[in-house]
Amino acid sequence: MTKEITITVDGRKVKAAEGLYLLDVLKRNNIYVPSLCHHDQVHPYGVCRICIVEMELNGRRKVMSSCNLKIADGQVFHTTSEKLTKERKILMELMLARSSGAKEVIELAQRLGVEETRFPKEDDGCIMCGLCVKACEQVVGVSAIGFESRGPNRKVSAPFDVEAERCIGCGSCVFICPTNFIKMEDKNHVRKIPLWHVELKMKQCKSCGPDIAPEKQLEYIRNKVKLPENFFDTCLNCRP
Amino acid sequence: MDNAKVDKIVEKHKKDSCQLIGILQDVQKVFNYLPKSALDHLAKKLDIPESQVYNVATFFKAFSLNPRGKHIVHVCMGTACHVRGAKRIMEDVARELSIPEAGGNTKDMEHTVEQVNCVGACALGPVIIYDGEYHGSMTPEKTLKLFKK
Repeated sequence: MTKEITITVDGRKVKAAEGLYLLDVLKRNNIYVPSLCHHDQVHPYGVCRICIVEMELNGRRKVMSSCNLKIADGQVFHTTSEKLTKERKILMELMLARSSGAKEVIELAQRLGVEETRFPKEDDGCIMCGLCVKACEQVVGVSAIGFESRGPNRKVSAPFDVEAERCIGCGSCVFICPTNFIKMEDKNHVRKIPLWHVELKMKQCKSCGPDIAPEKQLEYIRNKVKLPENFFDTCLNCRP
Repeated sequence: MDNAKVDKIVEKHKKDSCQLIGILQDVQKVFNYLPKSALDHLAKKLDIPESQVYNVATFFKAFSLNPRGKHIVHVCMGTACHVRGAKRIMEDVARELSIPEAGGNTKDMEHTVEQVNCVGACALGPVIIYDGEYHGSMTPEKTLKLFKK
C-alpha cells in the first residue's frame, strides 16, 4: 500500500498517494496548471516548462516544473503568483514565435494572456516538446526517431537524417505533435512522412479495396501480438 | 574488418550501453571520426536504437561524424584568446591551408582545423592545440611553423 500524504496547494490541503507527480495530483483535484509537453501515455519530460509552480523551501519560494516533480509529505506549493505568470508568459511568447500557426499553442497562449510575440515568427515550427520521440519510444516501442545536436541546433530527426529504417509509418508522431510540424501524406497507396524520409507501401483490403495501413506497421503488430498470417488481409469492416 | 574493431571495443566495455560515451570515444580513436556503418553496427551490438547512438554522437562537440584529417588542430576562440588575436591566427591558418574560416579539412586530409570556445588556459592565450599538445602565446607565424613540422 502506498502511503497517503498531505500537501498544501494555494493554502488548500490536498491528500494524495506518495510518489505521484505533482501535475497529475493537481489535475485530479481540479487545480489548473497549464501544460504542453505532458501526455498521459509518456513519461514526464519537463521541457516546455509551462507547468511551473512555486515550492516553499526553507522559507523561500523555488520555481519548479510540476510534471516531473514527485510529491512528498508536507510540501507547500503555489500555482499562481506574479512571478509564475510572468515566466509563463515569456515561455509562451517564445513557443508562439516558434510555432505561431499551431492551434494548440495559440489557444494556450491566449489562455495565459499572450496575444502577440515580440520574437521573429515561424508558422509551423518545432517547439522541442519531445512528444514524438517519447511516443515512438514508449508507446509504439520502435524508437525510430530521436534528437540531434544541442542548443540552437537541436532538432528531431531520424538517425543520420536519412531514411528512418525502424519507422513503421504508424503516424503516432504526427498525431501527438502539438504544432503540426510533422507532416504525413497518404497518396497512391504510399504513406510519406518527409521529416523522417520514409515512404511506405500501404496494404489494401482484399475484399473492399481501400488502404488499411502501411504493410510494415501491420507486420509489426502481427508479430507483436502473434496474429495469424492472413489476419490483416481484410480491413476491420470486412473481417468476419 | 571495421565491424570487428567495433566488436572488440564493445567487448572491452562489457556490452554495457551505459558506457556509450566511452565506447564512442574509443571508436573515434580507431577511425579518427564516427563512421555511419560503425555506429549502425554499434547500435545492433549494444541492442539500443540507432536514434539513441545518433543523439549522443551529435550532442557532444568532441565527436565528429565527418572524416577528419591525420592531425587535429584546435584553435581557441575563447574571449581571452580572441582579444589577444586568435581571430587573426585563424584567418592566417585558413588562408594558408585554403580552408573555410570556420574550420575544416585540408584537401590532402593531413589536417583538420576546428574552432573551440575556451580550453581553460586563458593565461596562455592565444592557445593552439595540435594533436592534443597545448601551445600557448601563439602568433600567426608560430602557428604556421607548427603546420610545417
